[in-house]
Amino acid sequence: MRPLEIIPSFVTPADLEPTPDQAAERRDAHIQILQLMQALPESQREVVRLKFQNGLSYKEIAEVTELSVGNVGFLLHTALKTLRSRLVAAGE
Amino acid sequence: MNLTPEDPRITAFALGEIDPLEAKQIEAAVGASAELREAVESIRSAGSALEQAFAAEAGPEMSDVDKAALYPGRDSVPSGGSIGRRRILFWPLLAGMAALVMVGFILVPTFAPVWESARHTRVTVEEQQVREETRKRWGEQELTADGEALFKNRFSSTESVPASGGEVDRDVMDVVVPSRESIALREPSARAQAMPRPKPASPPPPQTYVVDSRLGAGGYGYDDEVAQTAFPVQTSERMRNLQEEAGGSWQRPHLYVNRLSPQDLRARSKPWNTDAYDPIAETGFRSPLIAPVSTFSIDVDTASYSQVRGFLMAGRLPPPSAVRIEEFLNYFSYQDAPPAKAPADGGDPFAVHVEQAVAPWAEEHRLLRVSLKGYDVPWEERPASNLVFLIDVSGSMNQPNRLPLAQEALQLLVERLDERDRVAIVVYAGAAGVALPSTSANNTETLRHAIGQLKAGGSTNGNDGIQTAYATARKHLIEGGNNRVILCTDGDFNVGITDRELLGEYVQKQADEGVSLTVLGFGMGNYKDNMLETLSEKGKGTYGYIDTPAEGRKFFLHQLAGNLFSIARDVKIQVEFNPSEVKAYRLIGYENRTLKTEDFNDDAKRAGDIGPGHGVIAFYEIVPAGVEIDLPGADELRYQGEAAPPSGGADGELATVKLRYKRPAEEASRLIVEHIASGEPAPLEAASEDFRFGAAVAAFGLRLSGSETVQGFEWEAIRKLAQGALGQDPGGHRAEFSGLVERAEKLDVE
Repeated sequence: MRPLEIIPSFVTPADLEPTPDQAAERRDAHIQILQLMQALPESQREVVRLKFQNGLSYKEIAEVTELSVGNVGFLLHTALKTLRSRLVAAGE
Repeated sequence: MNLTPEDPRITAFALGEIDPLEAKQIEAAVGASAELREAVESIRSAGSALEQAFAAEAGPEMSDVDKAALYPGRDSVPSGGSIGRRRILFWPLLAGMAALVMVGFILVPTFAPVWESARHTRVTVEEQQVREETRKRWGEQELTADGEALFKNRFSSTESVPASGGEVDRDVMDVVVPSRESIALREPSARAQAMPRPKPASPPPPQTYVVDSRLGAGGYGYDDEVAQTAFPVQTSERMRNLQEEAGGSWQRPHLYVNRLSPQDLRARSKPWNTDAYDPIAETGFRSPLIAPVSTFSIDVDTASYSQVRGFLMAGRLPPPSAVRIEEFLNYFSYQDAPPAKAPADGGDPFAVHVEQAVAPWAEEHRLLRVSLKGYDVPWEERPASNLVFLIDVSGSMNQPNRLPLAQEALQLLVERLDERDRVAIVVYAGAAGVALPSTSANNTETLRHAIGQLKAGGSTNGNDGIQTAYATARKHLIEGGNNRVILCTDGDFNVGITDRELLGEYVQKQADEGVSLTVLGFGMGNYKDNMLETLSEKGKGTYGYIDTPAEGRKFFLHQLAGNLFSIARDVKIQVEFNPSEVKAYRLIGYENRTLKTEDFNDDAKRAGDIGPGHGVIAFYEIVPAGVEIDLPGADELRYQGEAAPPSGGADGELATVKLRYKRPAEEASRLIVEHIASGEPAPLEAASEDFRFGAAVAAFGLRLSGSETVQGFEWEAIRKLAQGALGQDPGGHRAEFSGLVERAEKLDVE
């Protein structure tokens, strides 16, 4: 029997996980990048998702979104540029 | 080659999108310039960071069933040579494709009707032009009413396209467009025949909350950073501007099904709603002359309160059908006294209390509070437990308020068990199988480790999850003990039996044979509330919704015994009202739990169970004789007078409360009868704290569910009523409730 009183207030298996700090960092990085995504215009966000979440090629994205391949390339280029610069800014 | 980092070709090159010939040239240029090299590297690392972030985010995916239902064309689109190159690839989740095809194959019979009306839209050259015109305007979600009409009109004239099966026109792409219409309205697609003039489209749904669930958590998790992504489409500034720009609201049909409004999803196909709540029909007032008896099964679930709290904390009012007032009432603890005599001494396992006072929202009405309080079993005397955790480890569980929370809650539980108990872990959806064979619970380290090792990932694609869990439980069945499967899921529920009916039957059979099912919900979004509630009911277990560590503690520490095993089974309540005292009455809540009058005495009809220390509260609102009320029209009764004379000794009685229950090991039910005297009701201020607080909770629930009868009772009045009845408030739940009322007040004015 385990009496209620001696239970620690919250048992986390933190000691069992390999690198909790790293895991937290990774999580933060993910959250950060997703938040930065929010700042992009919808058209860019959409294309970024199709490329990096669904793994479509430029051609496939063009077909799905009915833009030209050139358009797609430009949107992705601009989106990544923005994301990269913001990530760098945030890192400093 | 004059390349700068600003050139989009650099990005294309970095992502491997340049054709080999040109790529060679670019490679040379990149090799020669440090600046270009740096740009390429940074692009690639940003890309991989995005990939990881999306993978980790894993918003509630459409289950395979939904996907199969909506993209049947994937398997049946002809891949003739002429259109092979222009074939559209939707959702090419390569890993899941095999599973998809399999699932689609299995589910063909069920979803045949949807297939027929799914749009194989042959996109003509004209349509291409129209799309070109408006591609800049592509914005969000549904077609508005005007847009739908316009769209239908536009694409009706496709005479140049042969019916399916005919020759394929070179200019035509075979497109499977799961447009809103095909899904929501199921109208025949605009094919070769010209369509008749479009009928005026139905008005758009008033508050279409489009949840872009790709952005994570369906927008409903309350401590979710991206919860703000859910927004009402109709009032979006940008949407209105787009519509005006487009001069009449033609909009591109959206492609991403997760953006359908909940109404559309419901209309699409019944059992597989996302965000599915069963609609609740409010019990109106009834006259005792017509319906003298009210019968219902008790319910000790609390999930509805947690969920509604989640909605309010996230800044929106809950859908009325998510409000189950009985679960609000039962969420709190009250001071009702447990039975005086222990069951061992022949007493009943629970005590019954009644109280009456004036109703706070209608001075001439009264509230009758009926409560049951179960006796407490000292923890050491609890029956031994044989538990199997059935845990959803699909990708969507991979958020802080889902699997990690489940893990924490389970750790808590496991700490409380000892060598008499056994624990096993079965996972489904993603990984599948027995993660931990049934282990004696004094092996704390083993259990902690196994729970800590659980990882979410993969698509919702389970097989035999639930059958494995029950089989594991049966292997170590404890006679007379507490054998239970504890399901932890976020509602993305695919445990191997996909048919809701069959699953319910299976679970019910298992419960009848000694293994019950407790259901725990985590996170929102794809949450199948109706299915989970039904399952827990059939499985003779509680249904809880855990959205915070505090809630986990409440469930697994403070109320653990009550949530794990029962002291009385199939508990039913029946109240008979005296027509000479009562003009009309209504039961507040319990709409899903009402029973037929004859079910009360029918022991074969199941009902809810009560655990140790559990309380069950029900409120009746009563209109005393002599007070005016508009009742649903029924003809004057021919054979019964206005006020039937009370028979033998029933003078001055308001009502009689009867309860039936079964002791855990018995098959025959036992009966408790209590008579309630009529008389002047106590004024509200003189009623007990529990009564007043409960009344506030009932009023809150009624207002949230849109009941007309309490519209006049202000939120502020509800809050005051609750504030004045906080009492000891261990755990601060009542104070929290007070806060929720304030939130609701603020949200209600918007």
